[in-house]
Amino acid sequence: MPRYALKSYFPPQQKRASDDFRAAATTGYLIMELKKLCSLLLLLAGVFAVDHASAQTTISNIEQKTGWESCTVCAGAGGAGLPAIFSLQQSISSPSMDGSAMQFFLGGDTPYTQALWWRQLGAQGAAHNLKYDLYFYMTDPNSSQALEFDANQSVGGKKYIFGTECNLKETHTWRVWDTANAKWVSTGVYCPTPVAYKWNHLTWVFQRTSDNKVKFVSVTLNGATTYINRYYYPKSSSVNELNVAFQMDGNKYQTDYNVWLDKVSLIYW
Amino acid sequence: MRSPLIFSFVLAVATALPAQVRNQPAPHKPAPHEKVTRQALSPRKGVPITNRDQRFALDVLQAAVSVSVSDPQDRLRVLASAISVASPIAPALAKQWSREGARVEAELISSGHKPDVSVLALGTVDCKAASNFTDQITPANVPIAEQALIGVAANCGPTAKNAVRVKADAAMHQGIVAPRLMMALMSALGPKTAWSQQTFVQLFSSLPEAKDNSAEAPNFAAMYANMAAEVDKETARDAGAKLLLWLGKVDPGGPRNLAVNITTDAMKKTLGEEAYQRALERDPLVRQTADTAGQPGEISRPEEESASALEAMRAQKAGDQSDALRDLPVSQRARQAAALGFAAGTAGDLAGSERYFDMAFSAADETWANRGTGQNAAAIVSEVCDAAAQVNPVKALARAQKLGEPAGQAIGMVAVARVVASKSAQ
Repeated sequence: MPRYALKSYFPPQQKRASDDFRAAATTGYLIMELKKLCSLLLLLAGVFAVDHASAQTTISNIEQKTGWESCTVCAGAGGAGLPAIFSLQQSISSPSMDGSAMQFFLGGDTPYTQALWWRQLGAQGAAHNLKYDLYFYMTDPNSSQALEFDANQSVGGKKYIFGTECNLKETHTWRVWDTANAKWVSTGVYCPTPVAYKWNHLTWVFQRTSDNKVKFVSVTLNGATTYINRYYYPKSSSVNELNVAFQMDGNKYQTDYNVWLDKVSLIYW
Repeated sequence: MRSPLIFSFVLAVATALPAQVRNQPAPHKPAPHEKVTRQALSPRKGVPITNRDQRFALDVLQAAVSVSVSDPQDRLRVLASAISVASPIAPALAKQWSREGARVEAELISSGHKPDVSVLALGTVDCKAASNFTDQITPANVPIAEQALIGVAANCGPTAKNAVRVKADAAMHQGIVAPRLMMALMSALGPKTAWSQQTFVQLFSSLPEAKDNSAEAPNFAAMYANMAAEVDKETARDAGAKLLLWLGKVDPGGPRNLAVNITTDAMKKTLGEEAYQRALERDPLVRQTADTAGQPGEISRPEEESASALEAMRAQKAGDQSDALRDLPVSQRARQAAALGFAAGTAGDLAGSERYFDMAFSAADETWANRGTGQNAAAIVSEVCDAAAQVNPVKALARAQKLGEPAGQAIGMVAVARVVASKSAQ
């Protein structure tokens, strides 16, 4: 759902107007807001006319939920990498956006090793549209080889991997996972070194298309949206699941580093 | 993408560009690689120009950067956008633009303006240029150069780190503190170094005016939390008390609550519950602030406007959405119309797509013309051009070049280049 910040549309100079003018402005403002609301409702009516059965579900603050799972060997190439040292801590007050962030650590002595964390969200077989939204914070982005932000859905005998990676050392681009061919593909879209000591806002939009493909729709980093518009085929699977995942990749020195996540949410319908 | 129109454009632009752009190295396409083979690629070399899409993108980029843009903030935006597209496909060009970007950024900061974007933070500026940049920063301007200086400290060697430290010290002696920069330096130089230990004490003894720094409160608290365990307990106790006293003067609200929660948590962990309580007893004002701990807190962040491509995909199937778009605020109309244009165009409805892009470009132009402080018109222009280029890059380029302001044109052209370059990425 687009976020319509109604209050921000009221020009500041009107807010500072005299009482008389303020009353008139307020009436005008309300009319303006009603018109916007009507526009929004019209847009939504269009949406629901097409697909009234698909209610949108939001799972918020996933970083605060129990039940996160992890692995290191499975995070490597072919699911059989070398082990890294890794850990996870929840309810971190600093840094955090709201007093409760999740801290991930990766280190060890073996270069290019990784760790993957994920949280199952139930088998949401009806979900075709996914919006993975989160904030991440780093103190030393140069220590990371890559950061992965994934959603995985298995339904109807197929596995759809919405795998994305900000590749920080090789291509410096966003790469996406080609599920059927099990390989990373660069989107060519630049992924900048994340701003250090500051929260970075990331939103990935995915779709399981009506003809059963994995579609990467768009990525938004700190307010800048880039359309990706790439499709890949799924692979076979015997389970039913939906989860979100985060992976840290070590660099050639396997330098220790931390990443904090906050306000992790998945919206699906 | 292979239409004669593109090749006409490439020919037209390429003949007008410097020879260095056309004389790219011989094509060499690296094999597709998985994580296990990432050692085989040398970092930062990027992918050589291998095909016509990338050449087209590079030509458009060159044309965008050559657009005359008088406003230095806009020039910096154009350069930062162009660097981000050029880095993976033409690193040498990205370096060249980065040097100019560093110079523009330094000039902006020297004139007391905070850069809207930082090329120093991108990490593409060579360390010599980064050192020149650091030399030009006056102590008073350290806060507006904070992100750039963090980038220099993170990306360059000990000499550059030391130069940044000297600037941070000079600022602190004038009562000017950039807390995130201090955290970055303490981490880079080591929390146990004499400098970090002394700076920690000095910083909490000379905190800036509380009323002007409410938004920074969580950063001061984060710095305290980072360092409290690295200093002796007496120092941690005194610094924590000073910070709480300062937080008592900060405007009430989410950032202050978060900062109080972080500080009291860190004090308890470092000192232990009993010593923490004793520390509070030393000053009733400190106790008063500490007693507010536990209230919900949140950092302040700018409100972000967004449009949903997924919802646009659904909405456009229900029929024309033009009427609904018309009454939206102009910036939101630009984004939403672009999303609808993308949805219609990628679904094969090219006429509908054109109609939405007419609205999107018009609204983007209007947004740019009426942009005010804090309004990210550049992001809107970029998003609209990006969406249009996904459907038809040639038409998107023509539309971008017709935008009213040269800077908007340049940013739009960079967005088109990015989409075209990404088409051939593997």
